[in-house]
Amino acid sequence: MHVADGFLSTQAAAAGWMAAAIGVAIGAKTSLASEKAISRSAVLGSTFFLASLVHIRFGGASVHLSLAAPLGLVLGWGAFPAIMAALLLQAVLFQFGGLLSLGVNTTDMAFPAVVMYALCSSRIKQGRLPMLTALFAGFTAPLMSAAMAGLFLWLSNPNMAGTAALLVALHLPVAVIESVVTLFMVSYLRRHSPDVLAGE
Amino acid sequence: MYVDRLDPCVRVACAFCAVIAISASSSWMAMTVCCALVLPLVNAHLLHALLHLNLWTLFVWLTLPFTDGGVHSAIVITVKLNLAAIAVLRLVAGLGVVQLNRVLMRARVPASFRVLLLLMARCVFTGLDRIRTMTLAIRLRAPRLRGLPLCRTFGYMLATTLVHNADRGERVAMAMRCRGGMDGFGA
Repeated sequence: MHVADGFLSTQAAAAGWMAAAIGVAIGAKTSLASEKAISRSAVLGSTFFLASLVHIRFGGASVHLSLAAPLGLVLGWGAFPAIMAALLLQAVLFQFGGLLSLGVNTTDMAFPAVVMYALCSSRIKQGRLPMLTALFAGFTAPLMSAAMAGLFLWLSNPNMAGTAALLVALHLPVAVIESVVTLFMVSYLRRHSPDVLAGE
Repeated sequence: MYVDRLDPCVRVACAFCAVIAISASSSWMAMTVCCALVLPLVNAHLLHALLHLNLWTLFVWLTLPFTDGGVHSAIVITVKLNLAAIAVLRLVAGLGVVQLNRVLMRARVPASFRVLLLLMARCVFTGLDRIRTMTLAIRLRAPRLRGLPLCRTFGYMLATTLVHNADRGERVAMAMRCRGGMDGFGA
C-alpha cells in the first residue's frame, strides 16, 4: 500500500509523519529495548518484507500481499519501526518509494498491524476461536490499510474520494487471499512454535 | 554528474526540500520553477522507474476527471508525482545503506532504529536466497498450484521461514554481543 509523493498535500504528509513518529517511538520503546529484541525485529521484519514481494497467482491475476496482520501478530508495536525501516530500504535499495509519503505509508501499513495485534493476539494465544480470529485479522488489515491510504488521499484533495473508494474496492480480493494465508500461517505457528507469536 | 559528488546529508536535505516545494506548489508558475530545477536531474535509468510509477496515475485518471475541476487536478497530480519521483530517485535512491546510516546518525536518529535498519538490510539479502529457493521448490513440485492450496502452501512457507528466522535472530543477537553490541555498528 504505497501512496506516492505527488499525491499528498504537505498537511496530510505532516499528519502521516506525526502519526508514524509516535508509533515508531512507542515501538522502539517496547520492541527495540535490547540487542536481542532488535535482532528479532530485524530478522522477522525482513522475512515479511521479502514475503510481501512474492506474487501469488489467483484466478487470472497475480497479486502481492501486504501481510500487515501476520506482521502485527508477530511483532506487535514493533511493526511501526520494522515497516519504516523496510520502506526506507525499499527506497534506497530497490528505488521504489517516497520521502514525504514515508510517514503516511508507515502509518497506513503499521497502524492496522498494531490494531490486529491489540484485538487478536491474545485471543489467538489463549486459543479462543483462534482460526476465526486469524481469518478476521487477515481480512480486515489490508482493507484498513487501503481505507487509511484513501483517507490520506481524501485529506490531500477532497475530489479524490472516488480514487479512495476504488483503492478499497481493488483490495477486496487481496483481503480474501490474505485472510486465508494468515489462517494457515497462524495454524502452523500455534502448533509448532507458539512463542513466535507476540502477546500473552 | 555533480549530484553524485554531493555530501549524502546535502542530497537528502535537497530531496526533502524539493519534495516539500513540489507538494506545496499550487500555481503553474511555481510548478514551472520546480520543473526547471528538477528536470536536469533526469537520466536514462530514471525513465524506466518513472514508467512503472505512472501506472499509479491510472487510478487518478479513472476517477478524478468526473469531478469538478478534475482534469486540472489530474494533470497537476501527474506532474507533481513525476517531479517528486525524479528528485527522490536521483538524490536519495542511489545512496546505499551505509551512506543512509551516516545521514541518519548526523540527523540524531536513535541508535536502535539505525541498527534495526542495518540488520534488516543484511537480513534482506540473506533471506532473499531462502525465499527464492522455497518459491522455486514450490513451482517445481507443484507447477499447477492455484487458489486455496497455493494460499496454504504460501502460509506454511512463511510460517516455517519465521520459525527458522526466529532462531536466527537469537544467533544474530549473540553475534552482536560478541562484536561489542550496538557499539559494533558505530552506534
